[in-house]
Amino acid sequence: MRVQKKLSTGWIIALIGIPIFIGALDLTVVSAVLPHVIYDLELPIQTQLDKAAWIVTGYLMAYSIAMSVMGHLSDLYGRRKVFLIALVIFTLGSFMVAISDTWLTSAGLRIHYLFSRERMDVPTFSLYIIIASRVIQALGGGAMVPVGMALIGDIYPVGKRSWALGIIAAIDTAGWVVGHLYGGIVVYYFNWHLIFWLNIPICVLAFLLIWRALRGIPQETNIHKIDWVGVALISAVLTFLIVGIGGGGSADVSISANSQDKSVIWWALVASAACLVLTILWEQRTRFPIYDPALFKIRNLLTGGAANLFIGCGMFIAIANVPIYINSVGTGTLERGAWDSGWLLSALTIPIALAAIPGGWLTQKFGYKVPALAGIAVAGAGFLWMNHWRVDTAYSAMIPQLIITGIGFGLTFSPIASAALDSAPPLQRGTASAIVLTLRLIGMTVGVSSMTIYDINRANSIIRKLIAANASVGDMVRISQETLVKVIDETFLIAAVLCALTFVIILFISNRTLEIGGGKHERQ
Amino acid sequence: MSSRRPYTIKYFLAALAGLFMLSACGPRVDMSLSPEEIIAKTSERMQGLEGFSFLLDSTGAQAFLDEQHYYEFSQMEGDFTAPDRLQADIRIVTPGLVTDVKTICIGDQQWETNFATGAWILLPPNMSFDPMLLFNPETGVQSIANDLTDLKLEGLEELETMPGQKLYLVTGQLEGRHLYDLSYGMMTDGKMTAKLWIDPITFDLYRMEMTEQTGSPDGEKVWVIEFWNINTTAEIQPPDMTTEQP
Repeated sequence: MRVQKKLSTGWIIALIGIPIFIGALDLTVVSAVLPHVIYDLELPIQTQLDKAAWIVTGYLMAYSIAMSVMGHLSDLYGRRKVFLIALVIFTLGSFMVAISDTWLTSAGLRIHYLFSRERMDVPTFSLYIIIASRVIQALGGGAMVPVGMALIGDIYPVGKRSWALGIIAAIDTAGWVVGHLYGGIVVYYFNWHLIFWLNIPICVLAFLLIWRALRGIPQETNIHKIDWVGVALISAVLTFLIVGIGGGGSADVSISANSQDKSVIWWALVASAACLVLTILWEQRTRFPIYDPALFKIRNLLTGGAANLFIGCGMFIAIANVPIYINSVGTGTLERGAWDSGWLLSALTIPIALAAIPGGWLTQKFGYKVPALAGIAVAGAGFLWMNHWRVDTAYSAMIPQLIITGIGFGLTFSPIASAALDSAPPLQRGTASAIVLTLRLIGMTVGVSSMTIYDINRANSIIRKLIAANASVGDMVRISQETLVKVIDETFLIAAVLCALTFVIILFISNRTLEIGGGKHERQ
Repeated sequence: MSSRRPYTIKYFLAALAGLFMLSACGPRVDMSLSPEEIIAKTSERMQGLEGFSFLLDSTGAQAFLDEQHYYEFSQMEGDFTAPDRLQADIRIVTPGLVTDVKTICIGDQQWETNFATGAWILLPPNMSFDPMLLFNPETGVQSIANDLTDLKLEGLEELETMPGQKLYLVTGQLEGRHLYDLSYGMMTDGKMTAKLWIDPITFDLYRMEMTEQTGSPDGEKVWVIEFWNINTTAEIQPPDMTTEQP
């Protein structure tokens, strides 16, 4: 497919980039919003922290499910239609979050009392409404990225596709990397509701412009039966997986961590594995699979997906640990800690977003492998450099290390996405981009959860030893700070090892591609 | 098909008439009672109850549990069993943190969970807010009649928690000095405007709303006490001091 002359492809990137940016922004904006929601609703930490964590986990879960399913739907029904539906769902979800603890709670309570006289704790009820609204929001937000990327795959010829995908990757990345800072600023000066109110006019405007702009683009579709069983099974795989790995983090952070919580985590992981086996069996038997098993025989898609899993994990080790470092070494107040964390993280996240653009350009010039290998090597070197942080390390010393790491990760985005998309048949590009992006999202979840558990368990064990040794309060503060920084250094070393593993995986990406039937297929 | 329509309409009208007749069979609300009589009957009814569940909620201007204004009272939900047993979760807001403290009162004894560890401790007398005082049948909110003046029966109204059930709405002025003592100084010792929602048949008090004007920039402070599970008792025992609460 080629774009009609009257349409500027640059405009199309800009237009679809706006909602993709906002959807990604709302993925991480919640890190600033969550403490305020808990405080505003007056949710007690002992009993409600685990539930409140579902504001994050629920969004992540629905975002992953939408990513993996909606790309497939866009292959069937056309990118424009599915993208616009996703945008409407995201806008509706944003509106619902904005009114969740006021009008929606009142309306929900009235409906509840029509059918039941059982007393409802209003803050808890509001929390459920917020979680449900966030899930709806994420179902739209998560769908826009793979559909947008597939759209780029449709309108750009192979030679120019990497550059365009680099732009989309940069926009998506820019969204979730500045989310925490944006959220922190809005919450600091206004209130958390405004974040979601602001989405609405922007999304409405984007809807009108995209609806008009994409009318000129030929929409190749492939209408056949939707694999609803496959959709349900994949949703179950992702739901159980995120409950397992995401719940691991929240259960350990909460005061009420106990053996029952742990068993739920293990059951969720086992259920996820069981559903995965069922999914594979089903997808091999069904006539119109959501994930064509043939896709998993494409080497670049497999290696790209695996590399993205590790990249997501490594990247979020840095993103999770910088705020932990800032708060543990002490910045005076929580507000100051959030402020410092936001700005310091920008030294990592802004280069990630910016480096995605030259990553696309380098891919066009040198193929997939060179920029991806260079990027992951730079990221690994950055982590090794970060491995030497101390309690008294100055921010000025950390900033160049974070910038180097960020540039490294940013350089990998476009070559990996291009390798995966270029190797997929044209009508399965939505599915292919969904696979690659979902794996990165799962990697992020694993990175945050596993490292949070690692940090907390290590810190708890140190604190227990200190209490047993009757250390003075001053000693306890000093030793715990030093040890926590040491633990953070260890996680950076783990991230460097992950980068080394990713390097090996990228070596298996093939630079060669073959044009078949108007699209590109990897030469096996 | 068309010949069936008149019968359908007939059946519908008959069902509607039946519903009207059924509703007419229900207990009639006596609107001839004066508000003073309603409040007296309510007070008598509430003092004689075997037990109930309750929620005390504070909105608007802040109410503090301590003189240093560090622990802000948010709400308290629990059960009362006559004559002197009560258990409740008290939600407290401190700067940056919201937490629940459990309390059990039996006779003169009061236990409370530690703010940070969750471990139960037996409190010395008069050390902190004692919710038992607030719900004591003889001197607590059940005996509110003595403190209410300028009573007015506003009519019948539904609560959103009890759709379809018409309740007396009585308004008046409430002398706060009594409640000030009972609430450990959280409520004002001045005058408050009060609204009460009362079952016209049983004289169960379902909700009491008290509004006090404060000098704070947050404006007025609104206290709402809700009652449910009326005349049912909960089993309230001293806490197991050997186990830590979550």
